[in-house]
Amino acid sequence: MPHYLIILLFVGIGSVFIPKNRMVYWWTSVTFFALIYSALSLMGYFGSSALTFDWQAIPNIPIAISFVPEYFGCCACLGVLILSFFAVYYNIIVKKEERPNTINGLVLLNCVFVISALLSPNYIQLLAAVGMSDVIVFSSINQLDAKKQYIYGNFFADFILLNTFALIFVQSDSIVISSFGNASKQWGHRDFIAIMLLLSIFIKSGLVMFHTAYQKMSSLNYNRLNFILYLTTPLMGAVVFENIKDIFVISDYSYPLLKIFSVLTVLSAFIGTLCVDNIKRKAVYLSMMFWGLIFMGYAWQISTFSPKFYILLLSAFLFNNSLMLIYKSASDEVLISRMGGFLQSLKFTFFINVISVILYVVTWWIYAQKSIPYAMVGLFVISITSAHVFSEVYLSQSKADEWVLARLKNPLFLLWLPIVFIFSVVLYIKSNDWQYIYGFAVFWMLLFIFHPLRKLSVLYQYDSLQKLDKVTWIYNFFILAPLRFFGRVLRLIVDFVFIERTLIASIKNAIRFAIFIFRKLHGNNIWGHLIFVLLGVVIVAIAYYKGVMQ
Amino acid sequence: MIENTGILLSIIMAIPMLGVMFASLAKDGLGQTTKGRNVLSVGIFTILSNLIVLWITARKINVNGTNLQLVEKFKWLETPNIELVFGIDFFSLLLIAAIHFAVLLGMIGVRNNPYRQKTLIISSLLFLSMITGYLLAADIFSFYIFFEATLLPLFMLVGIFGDIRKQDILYRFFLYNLLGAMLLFTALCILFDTENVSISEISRVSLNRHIEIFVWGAIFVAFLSRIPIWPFHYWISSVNVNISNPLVFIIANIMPLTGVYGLIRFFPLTAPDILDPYLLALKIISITTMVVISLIGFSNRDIQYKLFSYMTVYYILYLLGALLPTDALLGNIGFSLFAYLIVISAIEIMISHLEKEKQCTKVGDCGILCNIKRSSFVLSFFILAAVGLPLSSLFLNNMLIFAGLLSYNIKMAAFILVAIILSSISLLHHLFYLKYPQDDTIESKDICVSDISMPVFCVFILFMLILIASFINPLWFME
Repeated sequence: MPHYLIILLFVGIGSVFIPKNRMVYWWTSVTFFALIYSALSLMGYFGSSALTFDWQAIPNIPIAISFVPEYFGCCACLGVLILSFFAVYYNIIVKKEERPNTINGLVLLNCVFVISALLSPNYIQLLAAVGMSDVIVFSSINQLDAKKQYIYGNFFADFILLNTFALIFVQSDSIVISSFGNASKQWGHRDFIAIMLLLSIFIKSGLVMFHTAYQKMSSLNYNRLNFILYLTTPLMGAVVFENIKDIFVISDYSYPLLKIFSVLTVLSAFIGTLCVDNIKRKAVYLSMMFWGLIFMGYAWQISTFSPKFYILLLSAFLFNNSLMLIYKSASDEVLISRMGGFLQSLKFTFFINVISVILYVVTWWIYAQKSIPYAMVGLFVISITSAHVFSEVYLSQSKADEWVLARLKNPLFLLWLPIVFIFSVVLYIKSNDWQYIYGFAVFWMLLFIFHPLRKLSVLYQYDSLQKLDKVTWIYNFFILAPLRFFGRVLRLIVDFVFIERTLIASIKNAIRFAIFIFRKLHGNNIWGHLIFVLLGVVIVAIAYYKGVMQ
Repeated sequence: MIENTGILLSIIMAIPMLGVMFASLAKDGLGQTTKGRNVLSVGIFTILSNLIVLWITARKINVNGTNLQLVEKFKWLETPNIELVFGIDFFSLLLIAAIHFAVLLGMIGVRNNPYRQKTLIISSLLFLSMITGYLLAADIFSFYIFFEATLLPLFMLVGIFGDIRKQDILYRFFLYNLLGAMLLFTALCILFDTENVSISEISRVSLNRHIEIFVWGAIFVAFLSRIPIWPFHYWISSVNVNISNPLVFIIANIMPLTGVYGLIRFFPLTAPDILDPYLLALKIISITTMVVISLIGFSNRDIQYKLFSYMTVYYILYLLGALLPTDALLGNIGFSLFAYLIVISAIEIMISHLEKEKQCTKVGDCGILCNIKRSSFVLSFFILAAVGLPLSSLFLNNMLIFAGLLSYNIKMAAFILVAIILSSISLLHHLFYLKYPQDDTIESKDICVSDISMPVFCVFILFMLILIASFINPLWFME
């Protein structure tokens, strides 16, 4: 492995296993050093960052593991490193985690596996990286329901991915991803392969119908939640898609399916963001909307996995973190229905929020501008949702507790510094497009001030709507309950009725009957003697027939 | 066969017998101050010694060789001409090593067992010797003798350490295995009577059509009686569900391996054509069993049954993989089985520890892991490895087995995959059940149970490292 990945790996493992989570600041410094060193290595400051070697993981297949970053690979890895840097940064600054070293370590380990997946030339490396990343996220989630749903879903997704690649392997006899190309059109079960791969990717990226695990994560700490939503499994879904996208042309169902799911995801996330009361759940829906938009780009073959994507990913991450500023300023209040009228006290926080929206929109525009309708869809949903949320928080009538109101204060500058810094960098790069940015800012301010969707706030009162989780209900009712029912019926029929009561009982009775007969025969009566004499005669007759007659 | 004079294989079989001898001389018994530790130390030392000999053997054999190597022959009888032949290939070596690791874990699991420790260790070592002989046997006589001899220690163990329903279980155990033993004996006698050949050459013995059907049918049933395929699954499931001693549980669960191994050895690529319809029937019954058992395991609340369901599904997967018309997968099955046996043994040890704690502290097992971090970590690791996450050689080697099955028959493979998913989710579900209290009235601090000790935790860490090494490079011990 390249030396920078080894450093990341060892610092990550070290951070996770430090006894009693000691020396937090010292280890955090080491973590930052490892990330910065890796970034500089990738940029070529510390020699070659490329490495290729043979991995003898399976006896009959030579696997060439490769970490050779080309230009785009290098940019992607840098993007992941920068995002990991911010994840560690927020983890330390927010001080909400009991074991910050452990989370820092998990961020680094995840970074190693995402980079491995990004640079994987074969699907064995890809599969291993995806699977290891799942183990990391599983360890990061500290809430029962979320952990359960996450691992069920992702185990299923990994299993599908593994078996679909197995099916591809038997047909192509190659594990090299670039060899798929035209050969894939000759494969059998093409529709099955494409649909299974897409299903696995949808589960990983948390698209509609597979988003409940991420929804359940809303009780996690904000920084941990944001790390999972933007840097781990959902990103892995997109990385897998990007790596194997050539395969999807083999089926006529691939792109229609992608279109349906991505549009439904954006729609459902849009509605969800507007309707849910909990700000963390809103953050989860916003990330879902982000991934839906990304997959919409894939579905209409508009966007590519270029460096722009990572700038957008960073902006989306920072935008979600800007919601955390509200939550922190309001003494950890999570319900929007208990906020309102915060503008008076939190002018600066509002300013940062606006900056983060502009940053998000500008980077979105840079990413999606190849197709104006696509860019406009993103612009529309991002503007409407962000303006609605901020209007609810800053402008609507205050429903906050007096205690919360009294303690409202702008957050620590370290919390908003990354947003301002990245905003400045992006504006510097796009300094020629100020007129568009002004234009958007005016449009957004109008939405914010007039708050056209203000009536939707009435939905916050409906508890049933806020706790609505139809997807879990559908899984339980249509999949789990019938399986359990069949299992119990089969147990009763196969084990109890058929084997225990029929087979074993019959043999038992037969043996009992045989013992009874033998007892009778051995009894002191004439019939017993007679039967034994007859038996002897029969044996003699058979012996005579076999020996003499033949 | 490659002729090679040596005594390594005899040593591998003899060391556990020497262990039996030393263990029987050890001063251990109920009420004594040693609490069975002497005999346990003898057991552990014996296994470790044999693992070293196995490692030396591994370095002497050709990993890619398809024939048996390091062959040793012993003349037994002049008339009839019976010669006992032993040999090893890489597949057998992996299985022997895995069984040694599994029994070693089992011994660690019974380190505090207060009841008849000496009998337990002696029977386990006896079993180890017998199954090692079985996996090394290259002629039909030693193969048959060791095939049956493996039953004896298990019968004793179930009789002594079984729970309340042990008489019923022993009855089923005897019934099913008697059937298998009689059929195999008859079939082998007919084969020997026709032509005295080694196991690998059995398929070329020419028999008349009816006798051929009988012989192969008998061999089929004999081996299937050891594998939890319907309707033979019942005796194995009964043993599993009614045994609380982890070492006995592990030994009972190694037993299906003898059936799978027997079928692998007896059904080479050149199996007679007459078997084709029977092989098809076997595949259909196997897949049906997989689906049914996984569904029952999914709906069952008993972790022992869930574990049994998981094991059944995987044993049948290996069997189906081995029956594919290719030899290329044998290595993958070996590497996968290696990790699989270690993983299920470790899970059983942890479950037995939790069961004991549950009984001692009178708390339910729901959420029992929430305050014992070492146990929680160990069980989580092994269950995640069991379900196929990239933590052991199960991950990639299973992929190739699936690839073989998918290429053979995609519909059949789809059912297999469903069964595997169900049995894996059952295990995951139970892990969550053990990790988190679901009753809101119970505070996690109320669940006060003892964690595994630091030395035992270190042993588990060692096994985790072995599994991870098997994922990174399955031939790590050869380098």
